[in-house]
Amino acid sequence: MTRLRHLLLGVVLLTASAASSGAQSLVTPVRVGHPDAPQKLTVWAQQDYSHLAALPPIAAAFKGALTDWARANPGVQLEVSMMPALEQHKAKLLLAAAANRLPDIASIDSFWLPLFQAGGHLQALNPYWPAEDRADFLPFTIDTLSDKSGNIYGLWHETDCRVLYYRKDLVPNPPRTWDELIATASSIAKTRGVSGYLYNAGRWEATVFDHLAMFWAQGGELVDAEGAPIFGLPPHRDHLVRVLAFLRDTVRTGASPRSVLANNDYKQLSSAAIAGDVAMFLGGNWQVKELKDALSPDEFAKWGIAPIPQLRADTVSTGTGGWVWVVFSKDPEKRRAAARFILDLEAAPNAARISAATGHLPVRRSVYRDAPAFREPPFPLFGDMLISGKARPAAAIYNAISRELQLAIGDAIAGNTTPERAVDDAYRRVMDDYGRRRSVVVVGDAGADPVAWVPGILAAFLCTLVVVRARDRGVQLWLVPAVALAGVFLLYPALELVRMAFTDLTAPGSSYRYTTQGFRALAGDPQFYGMIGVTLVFVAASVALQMALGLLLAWLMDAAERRHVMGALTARVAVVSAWVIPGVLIGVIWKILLIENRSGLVNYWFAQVGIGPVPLLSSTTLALISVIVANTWRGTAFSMLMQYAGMRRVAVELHEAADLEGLSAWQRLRWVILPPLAPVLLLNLLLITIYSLNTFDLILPLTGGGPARRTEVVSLYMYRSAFYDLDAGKAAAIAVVMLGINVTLAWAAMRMTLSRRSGTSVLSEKSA
Amino acid sequence: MRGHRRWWAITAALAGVTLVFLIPQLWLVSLSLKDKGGVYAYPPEWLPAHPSLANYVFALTGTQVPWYLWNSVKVSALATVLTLAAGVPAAFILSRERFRGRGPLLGVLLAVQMLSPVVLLLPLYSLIERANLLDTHAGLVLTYAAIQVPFTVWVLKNFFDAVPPALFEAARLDGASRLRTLWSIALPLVAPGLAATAIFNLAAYWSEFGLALVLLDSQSRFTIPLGVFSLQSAYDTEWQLVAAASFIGLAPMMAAFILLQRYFITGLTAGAVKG
Repeated sequence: MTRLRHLLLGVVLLTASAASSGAQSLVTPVRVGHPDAPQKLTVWAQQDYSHLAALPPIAAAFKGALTDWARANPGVQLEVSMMPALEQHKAKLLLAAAANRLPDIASIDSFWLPLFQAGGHLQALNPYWPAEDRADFLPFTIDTLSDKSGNIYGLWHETDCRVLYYRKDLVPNPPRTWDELIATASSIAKTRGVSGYLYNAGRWEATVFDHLAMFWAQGGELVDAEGAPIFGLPPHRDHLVRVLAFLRDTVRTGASPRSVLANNDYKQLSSAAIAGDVAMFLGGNWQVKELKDALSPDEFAKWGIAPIPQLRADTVSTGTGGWVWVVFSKDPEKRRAAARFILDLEAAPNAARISAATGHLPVRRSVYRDAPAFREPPFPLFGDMLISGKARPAAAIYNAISRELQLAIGDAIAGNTTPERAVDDAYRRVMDDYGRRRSVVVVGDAGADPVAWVPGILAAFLCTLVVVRARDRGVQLWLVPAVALAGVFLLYPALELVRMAFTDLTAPGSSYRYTTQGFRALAGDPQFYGMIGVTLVFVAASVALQMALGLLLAWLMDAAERRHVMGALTARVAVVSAWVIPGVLIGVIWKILLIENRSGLVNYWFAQVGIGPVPLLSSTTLALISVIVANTWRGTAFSMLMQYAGMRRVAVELHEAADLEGLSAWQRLRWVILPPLAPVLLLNLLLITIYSLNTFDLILPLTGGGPARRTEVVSLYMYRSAFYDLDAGKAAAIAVVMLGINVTLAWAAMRMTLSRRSGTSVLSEKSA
Repeated sequence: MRGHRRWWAITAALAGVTLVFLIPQLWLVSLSLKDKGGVYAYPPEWLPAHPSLANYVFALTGTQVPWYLWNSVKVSALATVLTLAAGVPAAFILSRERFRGRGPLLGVLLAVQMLSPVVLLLPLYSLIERANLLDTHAGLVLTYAAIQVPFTVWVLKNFFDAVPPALFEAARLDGASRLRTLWSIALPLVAPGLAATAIFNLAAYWSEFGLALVLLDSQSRFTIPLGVFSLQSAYDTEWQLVAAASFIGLAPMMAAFILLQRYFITGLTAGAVKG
């Protein structure tokens, strides 16, 4: 206990020191400005663009700018919260939007903007933003964020663009067309033994965005002026088909390895470059810094940057992304203060100071002109590229388009389908989605819906029934806490989920109507059956492996304890440590291990013994195996602990008897250990089946469900539907299907065990 | 001779298991001791050329990781206590008493155990919002406790079942109340069960991400998994820092495990209680 107390004390002291060190400052981790300032604004920011940045120069630039602002605005204070990165930030914002809990100010990825615009959550900044200052911004940053009546809904604070990185020693002249690229890359791949050309083709946004430049340069458009999808109609369809055919050919000709299908992270590209494993890759401007940090000056000097190769040599385009400050506050006073804060923070001198620290691309022309850091290479080159840069369309349907095109690109490259079919399928699915969304009619608020009361009343009734029926006052009282907790936080939400499954709800709190379209969409979707298949394989394999390994390990530990072998605790701690790491982080760690070029640890080891590279994440079979292995590695601890605890219930005398009888290890397991363990095994089986069925956290970063949909389990699909696609009704329908699978599997498991050994089920009563 | 060989076999197997399960964590440690250039260096180095604790120092002094730790300790401990406080009486009653509706209740508990918090994220969010508990630790603690209650009741009931009925009979003849029987006779005997459920619950709460992400807004209330993720960047994540923070987040949980696991190892070997 003393150890625990010391630990707690240490934590408290550290917390106190962290809190007091900033007490006098105007810029503390969570507050900017005077603590007693009357007006309070909430800000949801990203760590890498704030005073809490992990890189000291960025943090210092923000501290300076924020301190200046706080001095000049004594009446306002900011309550700042650093949000978990990327998709998690988006999920939080969407939920907050539905619940009317949005912060006053937020930094968001530029392509999320339409999601909030559609709900009317964004506030126009132009009333507070002088026209002459706006003129200093690159045109696309203003145009993309404006509506037809000229209102501007965000301030772009830094941008990026996509470029071709190439090794000058291998590629003397950077290719300007696809044909040149394929010719150069495939000959390098054949003669040099390195990848010719790498790019993103995994299950994530950049797979689409990086290649839109190749579509745009041909004159293609994804949506029309009204925001309706047109990419499947001529001539846009043909432009897109050509891009997909080109990507398919990169792999067919050997210019690119199949492993591009597993690239769902820019870091995989730069790490291949750093490992000397690639001649060219399509990356982001910010990756110059990664190369510079990791390579020796000589090696770094070998790398050059060129515009993205196109179908025809005389066209250029690049996708420009970046982050945007937006104001959500509906209160006029707060709105004005929020807009003024953003404008002050991003004033030209501050913007120059911050961009110099981040090394990202500024959006103000004056910064390129006046700040010395941006007059040096490679920035002028990037500045030129931004002129032909194009941002993703500000249409709410873009999310669905991106989702379907990610799949289309994956399928075309993997050869599952032709580029033509892939584009047509994607277009059909997007149009279904588009039609469904447009048909949503607002029918007043949820409070007026009598059906909305049913789940609550039903849950309350069931719980009361359970308690009342017990009759004995003593028994009733002892049951209440557990029943109340489970009733309110598990039973009620489950019933509510079933109700939601019959609505076309987009997010909690928004308006809806009752329909079975969620279920109908699932039933008519062949891909959904594929996902159920993937899920069953994933669950069955994970459960079998975890049970078997858990039993083996528990047995080993038990034997070790009985023989007083050292190291049992260490081994237990090792196994358990895998289990308490958050799943999302596990996915990230395993990706580092499994990356398919020489920079991945496992493939590095394989390369040392002359094998590989092995497509651990891009081959359909191996990717599923990788995901199962990672999940088994994580989950085995649970089975081990449960079975170990169960084994410790076998009396020492029985083991002594077994020793005397000279039982073999197998006989001991069969006759001494397993019989009393049976109920534990059954409970264990049930629980890990449920856990595995609901697992997606480690799959999301590891493969994102790819290649195509070959590792997409149903729970991942549900999570995406709820938080990426804003389709809560469909997500609930998927959840109800999952619930059905859960119950069926559990029932089957129970039946199997019951018929084998009657009377040893967990449900069987022990005679008291 | 045979015993000796077996001893060696077990030792070797344990060493193998430890190594295999630790590879990813060892890589994480290695990352956390590197500088930025080292993270990307090729060929990969297990032992960095210039190992340094700078990332740990920065995580503890330059970031909000100490707050996140404190929040995690608070939320996990409170939720575990609440789970046990609600679960122990129910498990005890379900094990010792026969009453109407007992069977269905056990079945319902098993059924709601099937519900994953991930599946329930959306309705739970609406519920917590209406209860005005969004962005509070209370909302998170209540939700956590509820999620693990069915499991806790089931496991503890199994442990209570294993206590010889004669002991309770004796207590009843002595005129001990139900509460007294639980407190002085049953609880000490099921201490291993309490330790086991406490470990399972703590581990579940400590690493939980989805609910914490959805239910908490303010950075000052974030738990460790959220905090570690807010260290990621849209462009260029400082992986060495994320690795150090992850390790700092792992340490208290491992300490708690080492402290608690002793109970369920030693507890049931005395032979007094038979399963």
